[in-house]
Amino acid sequence: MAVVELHHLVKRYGHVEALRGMDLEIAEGEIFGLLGPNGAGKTTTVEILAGLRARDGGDVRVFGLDPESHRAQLITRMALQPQHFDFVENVTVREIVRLFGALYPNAPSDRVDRVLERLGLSDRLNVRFQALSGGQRQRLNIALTLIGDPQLVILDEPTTGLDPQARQQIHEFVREIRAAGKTVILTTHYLEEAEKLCDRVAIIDHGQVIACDCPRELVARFGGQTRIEFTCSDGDLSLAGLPGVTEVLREGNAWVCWSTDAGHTLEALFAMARERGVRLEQVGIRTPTLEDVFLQLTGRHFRD
Amino acid sequence: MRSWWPLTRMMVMSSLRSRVSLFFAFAFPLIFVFAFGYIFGGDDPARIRFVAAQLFTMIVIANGLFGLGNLLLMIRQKGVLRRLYTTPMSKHAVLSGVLAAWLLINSLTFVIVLGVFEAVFHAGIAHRAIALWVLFLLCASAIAGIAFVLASIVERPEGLAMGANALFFPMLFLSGLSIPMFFMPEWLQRIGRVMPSYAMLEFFRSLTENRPLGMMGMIYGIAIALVGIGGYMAAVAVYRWDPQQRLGKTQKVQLVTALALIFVIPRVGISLGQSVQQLRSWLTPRYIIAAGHVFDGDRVLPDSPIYIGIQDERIVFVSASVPDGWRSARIRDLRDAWVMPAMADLHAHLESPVIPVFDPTFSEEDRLRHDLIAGYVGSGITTVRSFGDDFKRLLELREIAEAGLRPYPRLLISGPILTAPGGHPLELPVFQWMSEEFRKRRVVEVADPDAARTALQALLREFRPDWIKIVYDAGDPTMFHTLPRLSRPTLQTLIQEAHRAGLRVAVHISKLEELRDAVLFGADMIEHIPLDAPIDDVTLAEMQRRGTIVCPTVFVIEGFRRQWGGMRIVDDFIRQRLLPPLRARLDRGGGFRRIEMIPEQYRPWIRDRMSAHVEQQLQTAYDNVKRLVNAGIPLVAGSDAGNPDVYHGPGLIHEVEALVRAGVTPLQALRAATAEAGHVVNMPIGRVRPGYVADLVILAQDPTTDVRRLRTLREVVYRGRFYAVEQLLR
Repeated sequence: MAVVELHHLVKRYGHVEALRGMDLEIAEGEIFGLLGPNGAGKTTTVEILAGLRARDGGDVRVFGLDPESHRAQLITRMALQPQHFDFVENVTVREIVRLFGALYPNAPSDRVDRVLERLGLSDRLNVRFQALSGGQRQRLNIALTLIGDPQLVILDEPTTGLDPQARQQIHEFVREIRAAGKTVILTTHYLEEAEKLCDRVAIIDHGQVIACDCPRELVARFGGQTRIEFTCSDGDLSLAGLPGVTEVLREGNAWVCWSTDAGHTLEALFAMARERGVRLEQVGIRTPTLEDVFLQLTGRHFRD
Repeated sequence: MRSWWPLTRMMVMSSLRSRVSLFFAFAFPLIFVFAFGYIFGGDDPARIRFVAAQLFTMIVIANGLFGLGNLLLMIRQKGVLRRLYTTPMSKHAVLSGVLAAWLLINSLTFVIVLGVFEAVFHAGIAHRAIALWVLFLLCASAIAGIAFVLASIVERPEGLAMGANALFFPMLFLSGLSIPMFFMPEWLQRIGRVMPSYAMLEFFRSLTENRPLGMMGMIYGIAIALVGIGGYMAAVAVYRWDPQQRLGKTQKVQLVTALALIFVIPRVGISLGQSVQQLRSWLTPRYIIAAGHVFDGDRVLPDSPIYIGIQDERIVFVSASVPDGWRSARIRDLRDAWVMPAMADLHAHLESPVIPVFDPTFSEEDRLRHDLIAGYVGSGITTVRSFGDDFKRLLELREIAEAGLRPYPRLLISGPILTAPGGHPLELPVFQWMSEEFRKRRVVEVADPDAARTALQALLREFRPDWIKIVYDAGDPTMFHTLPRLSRPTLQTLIQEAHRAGLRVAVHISKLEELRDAVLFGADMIEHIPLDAPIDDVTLAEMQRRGTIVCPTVFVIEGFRRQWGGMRIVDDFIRQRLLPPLRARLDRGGGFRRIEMIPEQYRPWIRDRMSAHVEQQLQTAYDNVKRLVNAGIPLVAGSDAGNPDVYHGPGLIHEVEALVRAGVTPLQALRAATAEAGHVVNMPIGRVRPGYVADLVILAQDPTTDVRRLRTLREVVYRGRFYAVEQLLR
């Protein structure tokens, strides 16, 4: 069953068209990623989903209901973790959590404690908000989103600003949420995160979905070819005939070739080298990533 | 909706933990309290109470506009409201939660400020703490509405500061919060009266200064509540949680208009109330009385008929013909009647029942209220001066009368009687079985000059009496009946301090030497007259020089003769004016007789001894009255009601008759109850003359030749309204 359906979603800020007809379908129980550079429209999209923004055109259905008109019914079933989180000073974590806990009277009573423990905040209960580190604030932000035990969890850039270890923990946590049967939508501009964590990824650029599939498929379809490089003193190598090789570049001793089938190409390359008695040094293999997908689809580097 | 309490608690804790917030909520207001208190209040409790009202208003408004406005702006700009918008918390819950937190913090501020006013400045307003607190929160809610709307209009703290200042400073300077309004020209005052701060200040003043609230207080309260409701509704309508959402120009204009409207609501409310009041007075329209004969308080007017024009509780004209402009007014034809000014009883003890009855079907309160209408107004007396009654109770009755709810007579309240420890009237039986609390409200014992000052200050802290009553009476030594009496220095100090506080003094005496002391120390009025010796010419000259006034209370002195003789007065005039159970009691022989306190077998002997003595006293009294009249000393009528046989209301009629028996002419006796009384208490009463109050008695027969005809009254005009006597007696 589709938890979220977007049809030709349009949003304008003044003269600027932030979303130009987004189409998406998100299924129950999956971790769905919205990937795109800054300004692509990811935050706008999830805010419209959560009912925080009005749209200018198109259709949005969450659990079959329009979040603009049925906000009251949806607000207990979905929760949004906003990108920026700031709060009143001089209140403790416990007090903030107590406030949010009181807003969801139907949630199980130990839920709050479990969530806090899982996010590593149990020993921070008496710390005042302004004394929390950036990472702790972000974790608190996520914890507040989960207090109500929503069926649809929307996370807007959950790991921005966190160190790699914390990021890993969040990823683990997100997988646990999925294991509990919830649907997770997350936005990110971290390619590795989208690749490793999401079941499906929609690549967003300039307010449109330019591709949507599971990461492996995307890479396979649009990622381009594996790049193999090495240095070799023997200048007589002929790589063009190797299986899967589509292009070869050489500069002095440095060789670069692209292959559609890295496995076979390498097998043949090493066989050739052994046969000729030459040594391949500084061998590097770069498999395509979503960055390559993006580059392929838009003609721009992701970080531009 | 229960989610607002965690939010409230959180916001309160956050404020209490922030040093900045603590400073502005508590320390900052206190700076003003101390500054204003010392500079403008000084030692005068009355001024301190005025300053207190100003400061409560100022603090509530400043805190609201600057503090709450900033709070709301902050939680919006930080994205807290946005974060809450992703939860099931409704905007009502958010606004209520913030408002509740605000009211809690304000309650703390209120307690601290009130505490300082009481402990440091002795303002004497603590007994109204609950009412003041409720009013403080009501005003805080009203201002919160305005602050919420303001915070929704602006985007940055600078904008808020600008808006808050633009609202605050006009309120501070134009509506009397800092500069008293009467300093300013009328057109500026009119602007000031539009603002909610004016209504708030007036309401606070009515509480701190113990002024009766009446209708205006109710109207101010409603005006303030309307501001709060309007503000809250506007706040809900313009609730903005998104810091990035900018308001369009039209929206901003709408909001500023809404803000202006909310600001002006108090004026609307007050105008409405004034219109209602005007409507009520319009319903008592002007009219003319065509009177057969008029005694105007001084003399009988020569013409007949005399036309008396009445409008809005006042007499507008008195003449032999109807002036232009009044031709269309209604005329009440009383050409067969005599009209005279309503009378004043300047010596009454309203709470002392003449016939005490312990009856479960009615209370003392009922008896008092009945006597005021049936006894006093029903006898043609519309002004009463009370001595030794609980002023709180009488102030309530005065409020009710001024609001037009009940026709109680105009009350001049002096509060407790000041006397020596154990002195008169504490020897009376009625004071023996009173509780200490009860007695302290009616009689204050003063031992020495220092105690005199303290007692007066304590009294003035609670309310401002119209007159001060002092008892300077050592009893009757020839009958072995002596009483403790104030020492001369104490009496002198009491009179001086009272004068210094701007009050006038009435002194009860019974002997010539007491009269002399009182006159020399500057008493404005003497109650009763010497019973032991004739007043000598030197004393009379001194009284003339100082303009001392005397209220001789002849009837109660005649009463001594009746008392020891075992006689009682029962006449229909009195009977009709009593509550039915008391009437029945009177018929069965009720009422206090001094002779009945003596055992049966000694009564004849006592009666013989006493009758000669009291006869002597009475003759001396009559003689002294004549001396006073001949020396031109002004006399006024006072019944001393509450004493045996001196009924509330009829007692004054008896006093006027007694004055005549003492040798005063009927006209002089009538003057003593009307024009002279009005002149002495400085009120526009007691005359039929333009500008005076429309308080009149309509009689069937001529009282100026025989004062007993005062009993033939048919109707009473009080505050411009007609009352038939039968109506009043019910």
